[in-house]
Amino acid sequence: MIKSTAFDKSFPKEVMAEPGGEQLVVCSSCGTCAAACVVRQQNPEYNPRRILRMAALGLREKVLSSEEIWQCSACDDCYPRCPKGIHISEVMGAIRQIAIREGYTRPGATAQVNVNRCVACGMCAAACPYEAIKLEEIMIRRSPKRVAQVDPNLCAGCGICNAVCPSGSISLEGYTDREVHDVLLEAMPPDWSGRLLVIICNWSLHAGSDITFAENPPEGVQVIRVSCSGRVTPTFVTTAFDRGAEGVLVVGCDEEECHYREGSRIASGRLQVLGSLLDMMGVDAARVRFTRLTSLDRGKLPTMAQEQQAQLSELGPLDWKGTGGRS
Amino acid sequence: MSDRGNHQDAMRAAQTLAEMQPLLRETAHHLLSEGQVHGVLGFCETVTPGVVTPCLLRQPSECQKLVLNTACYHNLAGYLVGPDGLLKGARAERNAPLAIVARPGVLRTLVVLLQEQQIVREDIVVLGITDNTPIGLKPDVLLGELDRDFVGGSQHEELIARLQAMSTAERAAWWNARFAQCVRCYACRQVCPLCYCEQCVVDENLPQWIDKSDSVASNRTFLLVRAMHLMGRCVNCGACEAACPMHLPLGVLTTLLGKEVQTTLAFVPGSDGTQAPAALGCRIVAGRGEE
Repeated sequence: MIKSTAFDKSFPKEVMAEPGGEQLVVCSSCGTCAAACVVRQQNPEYNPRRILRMAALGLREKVLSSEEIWQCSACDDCYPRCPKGIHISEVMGAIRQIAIREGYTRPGATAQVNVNRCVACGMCAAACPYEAIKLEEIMIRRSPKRVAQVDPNLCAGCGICNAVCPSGSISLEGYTDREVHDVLLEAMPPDWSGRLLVIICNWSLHAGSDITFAENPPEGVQVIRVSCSGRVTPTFVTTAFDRGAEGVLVVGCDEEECHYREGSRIASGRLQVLGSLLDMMGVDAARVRFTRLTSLDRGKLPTMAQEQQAQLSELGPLDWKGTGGRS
Repeated sequence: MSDRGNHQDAMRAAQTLAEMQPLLRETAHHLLSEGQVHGVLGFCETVTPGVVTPCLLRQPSECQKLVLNTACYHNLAGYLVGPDGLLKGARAERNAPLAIVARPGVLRTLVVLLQEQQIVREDIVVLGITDNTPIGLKPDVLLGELDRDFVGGSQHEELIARLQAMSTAERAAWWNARFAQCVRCYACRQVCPLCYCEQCVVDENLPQWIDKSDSVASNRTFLLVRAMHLMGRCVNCGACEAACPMHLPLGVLTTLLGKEVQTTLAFVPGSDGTQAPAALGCRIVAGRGEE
C-alpha cells in the first residue's frame, strides 16, 4: 500500500525540467513499452511503465534509489512502439541525471581502464554507443598522461570497448580478456573432441529451448555466453581453432533489436573482415559465421547450430595446425 | 626547346625522386637555418652504396647528406609515436616543430596518427610527396608528385588474383609454407607506425591469446590478429613487408584488409582527415557485412 502522503508532487516537475524528461507528462501507462522491452524479457522485475508511473506519481526516493532506472540500455525498441511517441530512454536518462546529482551510482559492471597501459588511441571512445568514454589528461606518478576515462553512470556494460581496444587496456568486469579466455579454455579442454563453438550474446537468448541448448549443448558443440556480440574479438575465434574447433558460430541480436545499439552491427562487420582474411589464408570463411537470433527466431538456436555443423561436415576437417592433417 | 617550354618544365612539380632531392636539401637547409624546425627527419646515405638509413638532422650544414630514392621505403612516422617517440614529452621543451619527409604512404599514416590524436599537426612540418590517390593531409612543402608510391599500395593485385583463383586447400598450402617461415621476430610490428601500443597482445601472458612458439597455427594467428588490430587503420604503406627478413608477402594481407574495409565500412584510412577514425570497424555502414 502506498499512501498518497508519500507522493512528492514536485518530483514529476523536476524530471520534466531535465532534457528529455518533459515527455513524462504524456505517458498514459498503457504498458506497450514493457511488452517490447528486451531487458524485461531477461528480468521480469524490470518494467519501464512502472518506473514512469512512479515518477509521475512523485515517488521520488523509490524511483531514485531503484536499480531499475539503470537497467535501460537505450536500445529504443520501445520508442517506435509507444503510442504517445515517448522516447522512454530519454526519460530514463533524465531520471538518472537527478539520481546522479543525489549521489546514487550505477550498480553492476562497468568498463575499467588500466591507465598504465592505455595509449589514448581513442578506439574505445569512438566505439562506445553511449559516449561514456572520454580521453582525458590525468596525473600518473606525478606526470601527465592522456588516457581513456569511463563515466560509470553512462556505461551500460556492453564490452564493445573491451573488444576494440588494441592494447588490452579497457575491460568489462565479468567479461575481461582473462575471464573470457578462462571460459574458453574450460569449455574446450585439451581433450575436447567437439567441432563447433557457439558464442552467443546474453540478450539474444529468450526462449526456454534456446537457453536449455546453451546450458546443455549436444555432443560436439560448446556454447559460451558474452555480454554482447560486439564483445567478440578475433582471438576468441583463433583460440577455438587452437582447441580443435572446426568452426565458430557467433550469435547476436537483430540489428534493430540490439540491446547495446551498435553491438551486433559491429560484430557482423568485424567477423566479415575476419572471415575474408581467414579465407585468403586458406581457412574457409564459412567456418566463422555470424548469425542473428531475432525475437522472431525464438527456439531456433539448435537449428542454427545444426546448420553450421552440417556446413562443417561439408567443408571437411580443418587443418589449422598446417600439418597436412589433424594431429 | 623554347624558353617557354623550359619555363613550364620548371613550374611543374618534380615527378621523380631524383628531381625532388635537390629541393628537399634546399628546403631542409632553409627550415633549419631559419629556426623554423628543430630537426629534419629524413634519410641519409650509409657507407654501403644503395643502402640508406633514417636520420634526424639538426644542423643546416648536414642537409647535403639527405637523399631521396626508392631505398627510402621506411615509414618515418613510426619515429614520432610510441614510448620513445620524438614528439613525446613536454611540448614546451621544443621551441620549434619537427620536419618529416613523407612519401604518399607516410602522409596517409600521418593522417591516421592525427585522427588518433597521437601527434599534433602544429608539431610537424610535412615535406610531402603525393601521388594520384586521395590523401587527407596537405603537405606544408610539396616535394613532388609521383604516379604511384614506390612501396606499399596495390603492388600485389596480380598475386591476390592468383591466390583467389586457387582452391581453399591450395591457398592453405601456399600460405602454410610461408607461415612456416615466419621467425616471429616482430619486425613487422616494430616498424609499423600504427603499432604504438606500449604493451602488445602478442607479449601478453595473462591471458596468452597467441602461442609464442613459431608454429604454423600460431604464426597465422599472430599475422591475423595483427591485421585485425589494423582494421580501418592500416594505410598499406608497405613498411611491414619491407622489414620482414623472411620476405613474407605481408602486403597481400594489408591490401586485402584495405579492400575489405573499403567494402564493409566504406572507409579508406588516411584518405580524408576530416572523417572520424574507423575504430577497428565500429564505423560500419548499416546493412553491410551481412552474411
